[in-house]
Amino acid sequence: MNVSTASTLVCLVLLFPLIGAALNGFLGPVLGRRFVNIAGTVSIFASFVVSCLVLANVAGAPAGQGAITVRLWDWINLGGGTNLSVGMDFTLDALSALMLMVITGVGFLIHVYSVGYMEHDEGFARFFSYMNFFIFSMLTLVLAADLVILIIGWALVALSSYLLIGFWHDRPAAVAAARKAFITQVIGDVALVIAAFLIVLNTHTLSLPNIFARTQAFPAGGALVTGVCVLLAIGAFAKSAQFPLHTWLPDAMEGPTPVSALIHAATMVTAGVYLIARFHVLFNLAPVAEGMVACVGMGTAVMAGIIALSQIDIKRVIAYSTMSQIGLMIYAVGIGAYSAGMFHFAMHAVFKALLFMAAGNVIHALHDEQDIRLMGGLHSRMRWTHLAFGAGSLALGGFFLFSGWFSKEDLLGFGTVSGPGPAPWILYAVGVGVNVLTGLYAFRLYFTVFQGEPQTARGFGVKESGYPMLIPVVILGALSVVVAWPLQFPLPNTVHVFSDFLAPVFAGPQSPLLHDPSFGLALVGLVIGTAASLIGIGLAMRLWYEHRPDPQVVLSRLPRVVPLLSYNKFYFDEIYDRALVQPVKAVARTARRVVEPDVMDGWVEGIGELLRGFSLDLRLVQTGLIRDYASIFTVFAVVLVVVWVVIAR
Amino acid sequence: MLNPNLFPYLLGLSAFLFTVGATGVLIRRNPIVVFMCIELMLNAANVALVAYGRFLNSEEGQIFAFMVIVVAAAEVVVGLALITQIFRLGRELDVDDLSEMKE
Amino acid sequence: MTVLFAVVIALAGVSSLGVVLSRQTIYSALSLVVTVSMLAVLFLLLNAQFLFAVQLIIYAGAVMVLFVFIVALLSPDAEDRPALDVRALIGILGVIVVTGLVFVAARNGITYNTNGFHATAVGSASNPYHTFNFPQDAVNNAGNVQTVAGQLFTNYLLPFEITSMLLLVAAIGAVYLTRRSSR
Repeated sequence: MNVSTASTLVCLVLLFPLIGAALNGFLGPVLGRRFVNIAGTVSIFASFVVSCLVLANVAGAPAGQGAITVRLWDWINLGGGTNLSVGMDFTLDALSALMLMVITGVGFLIHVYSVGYMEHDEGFARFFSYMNFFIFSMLTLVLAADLVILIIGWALVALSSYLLIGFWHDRPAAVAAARKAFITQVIGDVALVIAAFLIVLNTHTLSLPNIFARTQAFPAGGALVTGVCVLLAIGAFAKSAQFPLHTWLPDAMEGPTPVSALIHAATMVTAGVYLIARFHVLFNLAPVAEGMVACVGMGTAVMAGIIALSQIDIKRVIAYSTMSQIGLMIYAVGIGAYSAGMFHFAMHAVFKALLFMAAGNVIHALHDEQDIRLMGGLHSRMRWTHLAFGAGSLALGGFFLFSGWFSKEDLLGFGTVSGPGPAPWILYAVGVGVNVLTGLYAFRLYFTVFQGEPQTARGFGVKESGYPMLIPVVILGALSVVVAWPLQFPLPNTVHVFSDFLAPVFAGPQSPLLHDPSFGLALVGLVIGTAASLIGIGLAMRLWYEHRPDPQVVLSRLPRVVPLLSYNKFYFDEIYDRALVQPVKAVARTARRVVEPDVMDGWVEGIGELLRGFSLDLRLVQTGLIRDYASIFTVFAVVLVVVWVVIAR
Repeated sequence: MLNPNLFPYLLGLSAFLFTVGATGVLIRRNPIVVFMCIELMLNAANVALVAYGRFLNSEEGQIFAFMVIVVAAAEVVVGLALITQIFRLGRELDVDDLSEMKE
Repeated sequence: MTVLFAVVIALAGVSSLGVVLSRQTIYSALSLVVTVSMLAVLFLLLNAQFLFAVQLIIYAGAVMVLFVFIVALLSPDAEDRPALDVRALIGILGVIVVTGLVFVAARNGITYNTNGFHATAVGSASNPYHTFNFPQDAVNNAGNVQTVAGQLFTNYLLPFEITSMLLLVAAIGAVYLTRRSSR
């Protein structure tokens, strides 16, 4: 691929959503619903076409020439021979091609879905404008080859998520959730920026290819690299809703379902995974940081899985499921299995978006009911949604030969060979446990929502959704079954189209935590993992198929502690509130009651009072008596004469 | 023919007349007398002008003094007219009483 | 000659004190007449004959007459004790300080010097007064009035005309200001 092709492709893929956003934002309310729908969806479709072209170019290029970084124009040129110039640099390589396909492909389907979902909403133009803007921001983030552009994309994505979560801004819960999301992500932003400072300080460049080249010279395992990686990881955790910065994701379900599907399943929350993958050169040099990342990922995966077992809001269950699966992805990139992590990202995007959209269908059909205890019996009444949801759940649960199975087993397979020491084996064991948990909560949800009998009068009269909401769901349902088949098989030396495709990106020194699995070990791992998933699904069938009306009955049989912790999300919100929010509020209250009136106003008014007092005293000079004025003249005249004579001497 | 040592005395006289006039402005309460003291100060200036003109060999001093006299005359006319009007309005002829410029 | 100067200067000084210190306003006016006349004589002694005449005619003859008339009209018996407070102190201090300083300064030649301010003693070589040869004869060869008139009507014509304007305005102003209102 040559420079001009690359530049054109980059420009187009970024421009289409931006234009869509601008058109819908400014002209949408005027031009009507039909225009907005078309503009919003066609723009993303156009980007998708361009992404396909990029993929073709990258995949079809001769070996070693697939990647190219183009500079569209110089933005900030500090000149003077410093290398610190910021240019509109964008990279087209296998990793960015993959991200492009997922973002625009799944994004396009979600936009089509939104046409139906937002049919009766007044703010449709604003919605599509924000969605397109989000796609633009996300694309900027994943294509960026300059640190500043990356950070800009990162921040714009956070902004878009704020706008979209709080889309129904007359709902206080939505506004609070949007604020919570944004503030939590700002913590990650700060960490990212500090990491950027450290990087620039030590490599004297802002361009990612240059950074990666120069950091190879850093002392491996040293404090600098570890520190930078830890900070980058914190940024990734904030964006990907990992422990301890995970509390915003469940609340973000206040936004419309398409938003949840796009942002909180497929794209934004995976930006953290992408970040770590992109910076793999640095992470490979800091095994301590990698280990920390892996632990956090797996820890979050299991924590989220436990919480998902007791939630009763359909979207929250899926949200915690996302948190858990991303934990697995983070774990994968933490141990250095980057392409495995990205593989799971791609598969997960497909079936998780599907699950969210199908849930949206259910919610819509039941007239905005989200409590799963009030659902049931939908398998016969909403056939297509039921089939797609079932397919997605099987993929999520890791059922044999569904897309999720391929990616999860691939991932866990690398877990068997990560080293050194016993810790990685503990993580692997936990990962197997996560497989069980996933099957459990996914099918708890499925059985409660779709099987059994309807729990409310409304449930008896539901109808299947309209085409815009149905077709994307069905398409993704089909994909969640077949898409992995040609790509990757979780045993070495079998099918590995996917990892070969990404191999040039992750070429070079590997992470010290990763080794090549032998065929036998991988096979054993595969069997164990699959067995775990099937156990989870089977157990769920047994527990929840038989106790259909009440999804909470199982947990209530366990010791009190378990359901309490699970249902209350391990009390994180409460802890954060006590430890962080209340002190800040107390400081603000003090500032308002004490500092502002006494100190600030005191000073300002004090100066005013001082001047007033001064002028009051000065006023007394104006006695009105001519003789007083004359005496002042005389005094000064005499002084003048004296000064003149004395100085003249 | 003129003793140059005379010059300091002439300047001294000018200074004396001037400051005495200033003192008069400060301590007298009848506006007419205050006016007269002002005239005294103008005359002091004239003395200085003429003395300088004499000792620097130039008639400019006298011309300037002439202008001063003209202006003093005009000013006296207007000022006394004002004082007459004040008197006609029934006010006291006392500068301490005429203190509308207070504050 | 010097004696004449001394007498005139002394009389002028004394009568000026009379202006300021008299209790009755009419005495102040009359003292001012004396002062002005003494100054006229002083001008004559300094070879400013034109100014001598003008001073007597205008100042002593017109302005002072006006003063006396107003005093007589408004407050002939007015008694005005000078107020002796802090202002008087300022005044007396001013008299002493300024007169003394100016006298001393003039003696030491710092009231005029083409080279800027620096002190030189009277009688020293660089004292400008020392080089005066007082060619008043050259000045007066054409007569004082003629010399003054010559300057007045050529170089200083503009101020001359403007002052005549000024007098006109003052006259009109006085008439206007002392109008009795027609009600």
